[in-house]
Amino acid sequence: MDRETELTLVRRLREGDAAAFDAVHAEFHARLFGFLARLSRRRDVAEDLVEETWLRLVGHSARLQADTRLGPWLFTVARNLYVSYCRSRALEDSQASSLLALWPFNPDQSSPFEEAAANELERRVEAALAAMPAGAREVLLLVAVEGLQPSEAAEVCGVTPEALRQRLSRARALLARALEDGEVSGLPIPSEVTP
Amino acid sequence: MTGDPLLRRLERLPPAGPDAARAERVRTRCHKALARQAAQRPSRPPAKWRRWEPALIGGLCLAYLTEVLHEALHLYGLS
Repeated sequence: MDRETELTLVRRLREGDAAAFDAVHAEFHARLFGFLARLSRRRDVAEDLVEETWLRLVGHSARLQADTRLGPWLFTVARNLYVSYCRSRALEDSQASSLLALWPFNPDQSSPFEEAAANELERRVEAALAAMPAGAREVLLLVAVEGLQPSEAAEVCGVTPEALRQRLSRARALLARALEDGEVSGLPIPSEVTP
Repeated sequence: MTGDPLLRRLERLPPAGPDAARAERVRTRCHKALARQAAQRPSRPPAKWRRWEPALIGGLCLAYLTEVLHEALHLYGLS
């Protein structure tokens, strides 16, 4: 989407134009879902969070700045919703720790993307991505998968561009090591978002 | 960034497939929310009339100030 089209869509969204909403939805829905699904490693969570992201856009549409960049705006909202979700999960988990022993848990559970991967290489990359710490995973998803500029990804993550570059470099090194070692299938899924 | 073969592998990962029926329900829900917001928004005059708003307000201000000046001069017997 070029900048001129984006600015036009923002103007029409501010006026409450449903056709403009449809255009933005068509452009970003699958991308937001992919970002959230790979970040949370759960389809159901991603579906819920992407729905909330769209409702936030609609609720905020009249107050959008005229020069809003829709991609970074939407990914920032989606990421913030995911962070809130993780916080609420952490709170629930701490309150329900006594019940954890009763909860059916499979440490070898694969992510939905691993199951859908077309070949061995894709499966390994998806598994490596799923096994990475959330901070490293989100920066790789934003820059490498979603194609955001590093400055835009820094805005989404709420860090300086320099901090993002460092984070990206560390994440890249982690991914390379995971793929070289071939240990990815054995890495446990972090507990904060595992059902 | 795209020159990095490792990051290019990520770029080539298959796109996600969200549930189409749910996406449609969300879209419909958002349309309803937009319509609700539009109904609550105070109605404004058409754009062609809005263009004349500043000129009209400016004209009324000028007329008011002229009248104030006229009254002041009249009060001091200068007109």
